[in-house]
Amino acid sequence: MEQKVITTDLLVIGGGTAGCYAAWHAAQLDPNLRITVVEKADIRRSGCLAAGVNALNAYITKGKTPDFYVDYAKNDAAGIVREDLLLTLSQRLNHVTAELEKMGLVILKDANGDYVTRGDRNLKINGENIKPLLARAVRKHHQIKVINHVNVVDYLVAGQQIYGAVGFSTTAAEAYVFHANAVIIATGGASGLYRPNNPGFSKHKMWYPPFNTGAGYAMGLRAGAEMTTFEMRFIALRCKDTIAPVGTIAQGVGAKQINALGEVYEQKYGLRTAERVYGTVQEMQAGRGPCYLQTDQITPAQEQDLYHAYLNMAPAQTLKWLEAKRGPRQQNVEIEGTEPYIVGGHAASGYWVSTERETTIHGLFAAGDVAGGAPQKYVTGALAEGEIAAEAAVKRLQQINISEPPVIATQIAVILQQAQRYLQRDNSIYKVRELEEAMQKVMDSYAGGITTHYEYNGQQLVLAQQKIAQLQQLSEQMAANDMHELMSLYEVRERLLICQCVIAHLAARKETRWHSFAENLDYPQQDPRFDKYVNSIYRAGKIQIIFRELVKRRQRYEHQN
Amino acid sequence: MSIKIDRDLCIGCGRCVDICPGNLIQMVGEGKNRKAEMKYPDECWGCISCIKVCPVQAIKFYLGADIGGNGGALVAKPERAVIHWSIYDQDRITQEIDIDRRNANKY
Repeated sequence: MEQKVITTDLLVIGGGTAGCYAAWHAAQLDPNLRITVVEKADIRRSGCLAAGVNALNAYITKGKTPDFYVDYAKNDAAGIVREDLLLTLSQRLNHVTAELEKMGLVILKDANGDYVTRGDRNLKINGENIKPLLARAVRKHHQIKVINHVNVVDYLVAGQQIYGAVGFSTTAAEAYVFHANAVIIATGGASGLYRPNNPGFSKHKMWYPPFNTGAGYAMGLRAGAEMTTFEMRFIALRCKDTIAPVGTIAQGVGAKQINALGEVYEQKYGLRTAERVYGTVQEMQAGRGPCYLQTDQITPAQEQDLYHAYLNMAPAQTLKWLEAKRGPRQQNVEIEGTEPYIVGGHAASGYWVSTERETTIHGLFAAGDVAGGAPQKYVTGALAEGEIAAEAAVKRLQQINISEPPVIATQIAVILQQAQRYLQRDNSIYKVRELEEAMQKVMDSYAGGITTHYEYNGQQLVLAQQKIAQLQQLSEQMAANDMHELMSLYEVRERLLICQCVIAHLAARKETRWHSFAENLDYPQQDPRFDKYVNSIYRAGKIQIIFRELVKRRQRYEHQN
Repeated sequence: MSIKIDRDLCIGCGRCVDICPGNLIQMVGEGKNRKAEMKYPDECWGCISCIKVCPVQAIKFYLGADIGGNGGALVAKPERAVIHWSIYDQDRITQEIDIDRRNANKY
């Protein structure tokens, strides 16, 4: 395998929303900085924004303050958030929105030139091309080198200090070794841990990008980084089959959630994100399913507007309506909960970071879906975090001067040899995809998947842990026929480790803080003794749990190591 | 949920191969017969990035039968000011929708 060596000042891993913006912002801060963005696909359409997005859901509207946004996110997560992270992010939401508009994003304005809001914190946009716009800003910058189609698989870390990372091309027989004194990890969260809604041919028709397989989490775990709140899974309430967003219908045309009897049930269970999912699950279990968004009373003009809106973000839904020749006026839109995901942009799971977004590994900063503690980030929150991480990374680069210890060369050799072994092995009993299915079945059955209505108990979690451990052993024997399969192999390896972390966290929070997101049947009530964070570090092959006290809103949190 | 690439229409430019966020499309064949092929149809997310980047509208998007597909398909042709969408029933266009790229969604 050919080896390419890239030396850069700042390495950004993951060219999605947060990563692109972090690289772009870092370039503005220091004209001499050399920045490299490494991306598994192509930054023009990679990550969460590939298909587009219908609204900016995190914005401080007229008369509201950043504290209002923190309060909202804190309440939605029943108190388990990092208020310092939410506040610093909220303070930048409107600034990054203005930057997006300058890049070319269309945002709806009224006759006075003010943004038109949807609810207390949302803006209406045409987000079909939001990712190409971000990518264009990055690609125009001569300081930024973009390397597409390289899957990063491990950090280079010694003595809790980062020195770079190693990855492999997804197409050619090439290994990439990156040397950098500061790294921003901006990969996505993890989908594909649990058996999905459509496990057959349409298995990747899911809410979260199926290509976000948690590499950032897994690399962090292996390098000994501290993680937080992996027990706060995220489950989205979606249009059945197409898994398209419901907010556009619910908030756009004011459709209510109703059960099969036509009863509006959403008030009964509460309006937090988790409670909307829980309510739907409860109605189904009580025999009052299917559940719907009531759209049969909308006007013909509203129906046409819905067709347009979905083409800009989830075209499958428009196609489904039109090819069935039954639009939302003829048929209420059936809804269901997705399988659980681990995603720091919506829930609070991810790296345990300082207020400046540094992880517990020196020189490694986190932004977007991999960064924990700050749920309800959405697009603008991810951009804001990209800014904060970029500023801290640039500051660090200006202050330090370190040289790579010899042990890093050994680490590189070990990672490359391991890939060679996967590629040279010509027979493996189990295919990569078979282990993936096995993992998803274990998580579905024993760690609160769709099958068990997101519920679990301690005994089930013990079984889940054992079965995932067995699959981890099998995964070491996997074989890859080409570079694409090598990528798929690493994607399964990463998710198996993340599953271990999720299981350990679910077991540690002995309460039910959030319905459905973490529905612990042994402890069905919320318990004030768990007004704290569940954190973890992966040491000697085991997830070790650490409990930490809640961080205050105006506190500046720094790591003690 | 996936895409179908029309081999006869494909000009072999490779843009869809580069853009796919799942690295699911590959170039197959030599010379004039070098065409894009959907290698992993059951791993498609349905983002339709490939459809928007195809210069000759050789790619169609359809829903799998397991999620209610009914024989229809969708093609997009982005132009400077509008995206021109066509809904197909088998090979026949049944509806066309133009979306002005300068307008925001109403919802």
